[in-house]
Amino acid sequence: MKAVCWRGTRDVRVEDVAEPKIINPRDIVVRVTSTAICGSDLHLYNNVFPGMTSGDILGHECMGEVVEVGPSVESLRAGDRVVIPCTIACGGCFYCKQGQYSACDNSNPNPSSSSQILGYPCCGMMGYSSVTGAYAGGQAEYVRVPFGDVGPLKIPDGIPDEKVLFLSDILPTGWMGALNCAVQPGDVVAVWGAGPVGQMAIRSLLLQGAERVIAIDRLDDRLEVAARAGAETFNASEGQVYEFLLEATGGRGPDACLDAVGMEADGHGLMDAADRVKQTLGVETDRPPVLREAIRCVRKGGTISLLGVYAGLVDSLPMGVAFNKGVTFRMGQVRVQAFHHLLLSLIMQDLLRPEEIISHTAPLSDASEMYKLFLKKADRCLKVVLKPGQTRAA
Amino acid sequence: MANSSPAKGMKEAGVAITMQRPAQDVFDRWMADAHSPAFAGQVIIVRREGETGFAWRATVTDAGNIEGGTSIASSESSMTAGWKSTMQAPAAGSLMLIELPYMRGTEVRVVLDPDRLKESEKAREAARGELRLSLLRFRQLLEAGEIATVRGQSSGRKGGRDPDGSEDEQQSLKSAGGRS
Repeated sequence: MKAVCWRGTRDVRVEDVAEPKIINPRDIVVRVTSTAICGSDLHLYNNVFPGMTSGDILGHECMGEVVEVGPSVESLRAGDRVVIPCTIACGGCFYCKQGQYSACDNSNPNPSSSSQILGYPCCGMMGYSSVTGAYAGGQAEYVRVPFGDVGPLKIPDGIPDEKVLFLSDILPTGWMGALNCAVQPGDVVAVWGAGPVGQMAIRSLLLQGAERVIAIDRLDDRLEVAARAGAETFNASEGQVYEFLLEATGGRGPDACLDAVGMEADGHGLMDAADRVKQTLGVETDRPPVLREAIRCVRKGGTISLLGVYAGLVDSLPMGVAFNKGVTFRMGQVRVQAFHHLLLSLIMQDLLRPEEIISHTAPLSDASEMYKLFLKKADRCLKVVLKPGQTRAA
Repeated sequence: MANSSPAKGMKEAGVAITMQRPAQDVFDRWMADAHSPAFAGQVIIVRREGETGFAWRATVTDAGNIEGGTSIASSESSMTAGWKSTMQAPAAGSLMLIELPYMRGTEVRVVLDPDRLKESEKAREAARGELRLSLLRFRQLLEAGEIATVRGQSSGRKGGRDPDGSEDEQQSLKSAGGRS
């Protein structure tokens, strides 16, 4: 079968690999009908997230048709359409029992490896480095899904892939990030990053009752999409974010600030130069200018919600500012399985239209070009959906 | 003030992991012959032999595979068991199960016999690391019913299938070509 294989920094190739098979009793195998490139795939593409090996199959946003189920799987059968969560959860551990699926104790085949980095084993993830288990990802014609009786969400017939594909990751991620803002009536929320996850967060915040959502980015085309969803917008290349937010909130500051950018944020000035030098030297793994800015901008007693992925060490965080303002931080890997039933219901009621952000659809064979396009944000590229089995139109 | 917590002594020769099951379930599973392969390749396999004995096998860094017979050293209640090697091996030790309140699971504390772990700090750390991995896998088996693995999955790594490259590349190429 064809699969998107990581071959090194900014080098992915569509290659022939063996088809997946049932390995454990709770596995399923899915024929992938749609798969997306995620912003967090770019951390792997740029080789700034640890644990990648040449040949690893990428992809953690995918859906398709079940073709085979393991002997212990009773909830699914061949022919079912499913969306596959990016996080893998066993359903039986302390964390899964509490709905904290992304903290699952048992889904990572390399618990020792992640324990060394995180202190505890992290959950397994589809197609996301050996730190999260080295599972083969879903940017492929077929994919093996562990714990197929816990994660995959059955999709009723008649709903196009494009409407539900993002239930795999970015829609629940945006929803959870919005929930972490603990929106109260009248709240103003600032969202850094109008990329795919930021767009999902903006829609979720408005649905959860935020009075105003202010989207911050440097790309007008992304801000236009955010504005169409109901957000106010600010282009950060045209002025100081802090000054703007202070003015926009009558001097109080946003009630919540949501960082949908994460570890590869672009800063400016000396601090940005220092971050890049430290990142190159390996003394800092993540560049946190957005997080620093959010700490400065949020109102006293406000909340900062982190959605964008952070992988390791960040430097020069103004913790004294956060402490003295009484800021609450909330963050974490998305608990897809905790939200996807609700979100599917909202999609079916037409209250959420995640497909609005798709800018490019291409055959799987075009993955290499699509990664380049997405990285450069060229051609107004906001979200790429890849179609295995589809050929390029003439 | 001296450390009075149950963790005293764990640093030297023990590992503790909490499992989301009642203590009786953990104990029964620990003793179940059918599930002992869960520990294959790791520190401990316990397998019942008659009423009071176990066969065990241990893989210890720098020591290779060691097998032997063990008799129950103490059994104060169904929740506590110990084992003692009848041969030269560093795997003798004790198992303690502490059921936590409010359905928070069972603490599983395994302490290796310190007399057998005096060789070096490095060997002791290796034994603890392997023991911890064994317990993590035991927990996977107990809570999830299977041990998570990627061995044998599709891969573009050298070797074609699993991340260790242990699958035959020709086999993977044979199967590349389409599921109808």
